[in-house]
Amino acid sequence: MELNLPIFSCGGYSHQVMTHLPALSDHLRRTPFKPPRRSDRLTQLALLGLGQTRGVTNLPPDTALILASGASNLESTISNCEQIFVDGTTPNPIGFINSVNNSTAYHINQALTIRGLTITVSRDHCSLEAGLQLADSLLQAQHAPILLGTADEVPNDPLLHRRRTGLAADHLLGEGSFWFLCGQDGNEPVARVIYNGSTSETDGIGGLLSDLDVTHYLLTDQASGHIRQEQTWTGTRIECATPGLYPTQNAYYLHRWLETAEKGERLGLINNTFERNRASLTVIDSYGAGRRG
Amino acid sequence: MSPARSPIIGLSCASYLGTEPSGIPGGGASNLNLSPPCIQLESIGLSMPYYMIGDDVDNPDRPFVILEDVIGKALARSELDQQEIAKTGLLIGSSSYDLHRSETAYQQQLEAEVESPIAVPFTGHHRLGEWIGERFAISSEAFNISSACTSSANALLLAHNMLSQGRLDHALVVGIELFNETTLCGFAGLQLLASHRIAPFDPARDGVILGESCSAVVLSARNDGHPAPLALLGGSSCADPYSITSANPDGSTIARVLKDAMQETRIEKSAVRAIKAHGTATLMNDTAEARGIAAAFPDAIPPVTAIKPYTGHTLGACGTLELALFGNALTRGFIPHTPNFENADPELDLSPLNNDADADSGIYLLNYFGFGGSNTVVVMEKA
Repeated sequence: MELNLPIFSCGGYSHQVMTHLPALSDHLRRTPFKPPRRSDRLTQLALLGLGQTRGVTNLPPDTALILASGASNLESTISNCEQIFVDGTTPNPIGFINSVNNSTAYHINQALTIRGLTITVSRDHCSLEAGLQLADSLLQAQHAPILLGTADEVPNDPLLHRRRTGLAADHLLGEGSFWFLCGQDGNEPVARVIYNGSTSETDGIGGLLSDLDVTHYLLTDQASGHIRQEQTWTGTRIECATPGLYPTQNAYYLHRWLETAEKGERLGLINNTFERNRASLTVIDSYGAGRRG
Repeated sequence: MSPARSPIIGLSCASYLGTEPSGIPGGGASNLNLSPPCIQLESIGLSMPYYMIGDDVDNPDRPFVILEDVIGKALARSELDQQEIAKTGLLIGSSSYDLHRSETAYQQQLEAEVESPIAVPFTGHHRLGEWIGERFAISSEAFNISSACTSSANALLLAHNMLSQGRLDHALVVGIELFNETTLCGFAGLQLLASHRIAPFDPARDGVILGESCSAVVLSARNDGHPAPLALLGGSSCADPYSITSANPDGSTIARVLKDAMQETRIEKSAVRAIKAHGTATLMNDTAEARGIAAAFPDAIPPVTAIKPYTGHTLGACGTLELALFGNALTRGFIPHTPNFENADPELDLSPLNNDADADSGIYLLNYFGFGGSNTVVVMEKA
């Protein structure tokens, strides 16, 4: 599907997770946002990501917020289950409220004093793509900007989480949050998302890349093995060092590319959902964001 | 210019009222037993009333059995052919998706005394969407929307946007909320649960009772052919900064979203035939909603009714469920009354219908409010 989604700024935060969860409090003190009391890790990661994103502190009040997350408030959900099934008690009310999937979006609204439509959208490893599609549709329906963010956390303990997600004990995990301010703010966009589509015919990806004149393509960590073996595609393949696996990791890759891409470059971001063997292609034009600093 | 119109060409639902959208009988007094049975939660040693779809909650295939029935009926009623279904957009609204599957797997590990059991072994919210796509040969990827109790209502608005923009010819919007202990225990911990009934806007209210439901709404972009009896015109949604658990009790945010919804769809207040309230029967919701409606309609408040006394609060699924039940009643010629409403609350300037009323052609507003400050109003037209 053709999209026409201008991105005016982007930023974010992520880190690797080995055996212990890195503390966030020192990083949070350096952001302009005060984390709400008893906020969960997902909210704190989202605020850290926002703190690295230009132009988000004076948004119009009717700005819409779309938070894309593969697993949402996983730590709170786990904690609720442990309290119920191990301790035999009702969940802590704050923890239960935090596990409501929209609570992080609520806290972001509070931090930015925005009041528009607010939703969380999920599609496994293609949650960013779902968010981009919704943002593009919303932008046509309203004049206010759209703030699209991604956030995913590693719950405690990381070793157990590797077992939960079927990963080897030494597999590199990551967590983080990236933000894309979309919409008309009177400035020149730094990029524009022009296409997103998915196909079960993964052989067709090469043809799509060629038809859409992409200059570069990037395979996310979640792109399945048989896509990765394709060798005949046009365009330059980009390799990004991964910060570690997490569902919305492709937002990190998109952000990294936008930081360095030249004006006129066109990226094909290739991804696929975890359980279904479908390839997803998102195409983004760079207007030279990285060079503008 | 007229607002975009998305005819509703297929409706289906499963709830405490049964497996048809005609579950609310007309004729005022009904033979329905609206006091739900109690469910015993062994995990925390509590018993609480709960509006269920049958009682087979431990069947691991239950979500798929219910989805198969509900979506199958909605698609059949839409009369879409398989090629059209393949291109249909899929949006799902829920606050818990298939969480019970994770709970069951965790309990089994605990019972088996597995070393280092894994709580929430299945992460993410996309499995039901994957299954629906595979089962009904829908080629588009699902949008799994979460905004607490407005999840499926917001999914309806997002689908309407996509249809009116020509991105889709048809959209299947599914709301699903099935039994899971986390939600029930969480609400018990919040002390929001009523003892045996839901009595919105009545001073004798004592809270909400939760319920299960699965519902499907098929929307079309096409206004040609046979006129559908119901259509979405759009609506509005906004974030309420007052509290993560309730709308501002002064009613200002609810008044705003009602006004925005009418403005977005170019509807005059006088054209509104009735309002389906969110009507959870918690003091905070009743207060905020009554004041909000009064502020949005200062001259004359349209008839107001609430659906939750029939079905329980089905949380993220109430958007599509209440549209299906309320809409079906409208097409049968009546606005259903609000069970359990006996006395007006002297603190609130609002009395919901305590008898069924005639449903004329025209505009109906559907209110939905949720945790996380999400307030949504859906505008529906009855032909």
